[in-house]
Amino acid sequence: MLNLSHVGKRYGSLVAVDDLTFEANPGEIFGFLGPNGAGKTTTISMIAGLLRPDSGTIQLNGGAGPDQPHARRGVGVAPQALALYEELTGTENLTFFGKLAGLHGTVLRERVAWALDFVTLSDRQKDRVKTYSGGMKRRLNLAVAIVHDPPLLLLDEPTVGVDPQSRNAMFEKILELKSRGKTVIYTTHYMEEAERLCDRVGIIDRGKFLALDSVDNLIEEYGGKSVVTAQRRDGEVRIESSDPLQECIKLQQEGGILSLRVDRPDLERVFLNLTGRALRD
Amino acid sequence: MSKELLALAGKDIRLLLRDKGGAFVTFVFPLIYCVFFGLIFAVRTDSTREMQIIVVDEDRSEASAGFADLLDAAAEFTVKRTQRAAAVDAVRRGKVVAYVVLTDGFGEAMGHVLLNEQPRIEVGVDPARTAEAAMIQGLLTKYSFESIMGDLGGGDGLRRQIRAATEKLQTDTDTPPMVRLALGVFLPELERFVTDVEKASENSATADGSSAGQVGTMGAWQPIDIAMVDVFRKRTGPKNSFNISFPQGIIWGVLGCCASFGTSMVIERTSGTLSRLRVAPIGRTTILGGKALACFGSTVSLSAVLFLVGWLFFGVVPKSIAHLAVSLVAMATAFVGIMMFLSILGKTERSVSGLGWAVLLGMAMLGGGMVPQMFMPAWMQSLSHVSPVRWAILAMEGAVWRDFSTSEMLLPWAVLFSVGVAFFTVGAKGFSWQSKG
Ligand SMILES: Nc1ncnc2c1ncn2[C@@H]1O[C@H](COP(=O)(O)OP(=O)(O)OP(=O)(O)O)[C@@H](O)[C@H]1O
Ligand SMILES: [Mg+2]
Repeated sequence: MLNLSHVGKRYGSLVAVDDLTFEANPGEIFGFLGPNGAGKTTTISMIAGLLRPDSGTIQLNGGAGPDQPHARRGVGVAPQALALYEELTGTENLTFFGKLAGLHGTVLRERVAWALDFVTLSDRQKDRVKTYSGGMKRRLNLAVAIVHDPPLLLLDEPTVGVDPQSRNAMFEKILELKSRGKTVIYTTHYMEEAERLCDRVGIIDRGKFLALDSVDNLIEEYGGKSVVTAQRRDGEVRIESSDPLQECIKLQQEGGILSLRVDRPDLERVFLNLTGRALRD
Repeated sequence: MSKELLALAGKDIRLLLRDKGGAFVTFVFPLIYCVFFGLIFAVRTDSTREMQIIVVDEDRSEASAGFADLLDAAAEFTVKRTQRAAAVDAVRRGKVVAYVVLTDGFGEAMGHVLLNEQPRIEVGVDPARTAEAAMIQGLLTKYSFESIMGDLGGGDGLRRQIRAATEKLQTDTDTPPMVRLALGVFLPELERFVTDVEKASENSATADGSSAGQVGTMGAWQPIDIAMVDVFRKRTGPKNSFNISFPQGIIWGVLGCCASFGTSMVIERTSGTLSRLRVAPIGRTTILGGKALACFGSTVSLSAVLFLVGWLFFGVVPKSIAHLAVSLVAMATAFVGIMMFLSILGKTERSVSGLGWAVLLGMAMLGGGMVPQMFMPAWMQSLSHVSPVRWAILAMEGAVWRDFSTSEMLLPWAVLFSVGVAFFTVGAKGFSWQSKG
């Protein structure tokens, strides 16, 4: 579906993407997790054909590169920087981009209605985009990516500024797309999103993958042990363990426990352990 | 034409119309310009209510001066007085509708109309203006009647005089019998004539030009001899000032379109939508083509609509619709190219708009978009050859009133098409596709 092989991109002396290789399969949500400036957007731009890699190759569905217009028909992009016609309405934006992707007639109308529903914007569809709130624009930005029902979706931080309720609705719909066999490349700084949505996550920093695996495997491999923190009358106790349940039972038996907390390792910890830095500064 | 191209162009035209300022610059302002400057430059040439004529008094008698004053006072005429040569020239150049020469001996003949001497008036008018010619002929007849009647103290006075003369004749024995016999027949005849004249004069006083024309041909008697002279008008001048102001005003609309679309190319880039277009399964040629088509379509329809307004309401009647159509297409092609060129003048909307307008204003200033070419000094007229605006105006004027032949049109058309292709090539080559970030 999508194949990157030793892809690199530099801006002057700055290496934005460094020898990236991976493959994303049909029906997979592939997450890019990394801090600001890690190279996520640069990678997405190269996959979308907006930037030409300095080295390496990118193959879309069937092997054609993204510089081929027909190959891009199967790609939908929600760019990190909002890209919408503010003077047009939501429906007009979707209709226009749908037409560019080759839709017309009833199919086009149905797809536009579906995309509006996908991002729960049907009630604002007749309003000009400039009257939308930031989160609404972000949602329409996603709708444009999916309006032509492409098999490959490139979503660059699609949920920034979206309220929790709409965000939850979007997650469900994205999972639904996945169940219909779409491939989704999803970049985010939010570990919760990556954990909830992604089948595999590439942890990227300074243009390089530090690790690439399923969320569970990443945590198992790089997350370290769970931490059990107990508040006792005589003070706080922290115990690292790969079997936190056993530790809790032991502490309970010792008695004198005021409260107990178990911190399971998460992607944040994975990142911290891999880089020595927190994911968000 | 591909659906994608149409979708792109449709989107751009919709955006242009949504932008109130842009729509104003493109559509409303040019129309105001056309009308406003048309009124300022107004040279009245074609008014049918008040005809401009020149009276040439070659007789220089009291009677001819009186007749000239009568015409001057007439509601139907605006009268200027010059020499014959100047008058003929003015008619030829279409500055006035006609000239009227009161020929040598006019005054004397006026005094002897009853003795069947006809004062001679020469009227010079473009034979194409048949309606005006007939109207002038009728009006001159009418006013000559009035003048004669006035001289004789009106119809009643005249009748009284005739009756007195008839009575005197019957009792007068000094007059030779042959003369008495002749006058006996003539005087009642004359009285009947006076009544006829009065009726005719009343008719024409209330009537418009066409029935006044009938007076001139009224069977019975013609008081004056009107000689119509054909003065062929030179067909090179604009018919009215709107013929000048419309091509000029339309240029402003075209410049507005050009600036709007040139700027919109940059807005696409800065707003990120250019990236979206590039991600869409269409080539770069289609993206540029869509913009070009939108600019072309709005330029052609804008100028066509403004010409239609000029035609319907301001007497801007193109000499050749086919030529005008080609001219508009050529002009649109040129300014699509210039639009593409403007889009590479800067990186931001502000810089492209600013620099773009500077370039366009320069072209307009030189090319006669601000001050009509004909009012420019000679050196500036020759300098104006470098401005596409000049060629666009020439292409429009050639089709509207200069009455260019097709071969004369070829030069402006060729210049405009070449300008379009050259500027478009430079603009398309230099266009930066990379968005921010
Ligand atoms: N047009 C550009 N010119 C120069 N450097 C650039 C350009 N675009 C990106 N960079 C640099 O490339 C690196 C990667 O940027 P990129 O936008 O891919 O990061 P990111 O992972 O998407 O970050 P974020 O989470 O903030 O969106 C950064 O150091 C950035 O400064
Ligand atoms: Mg980014």
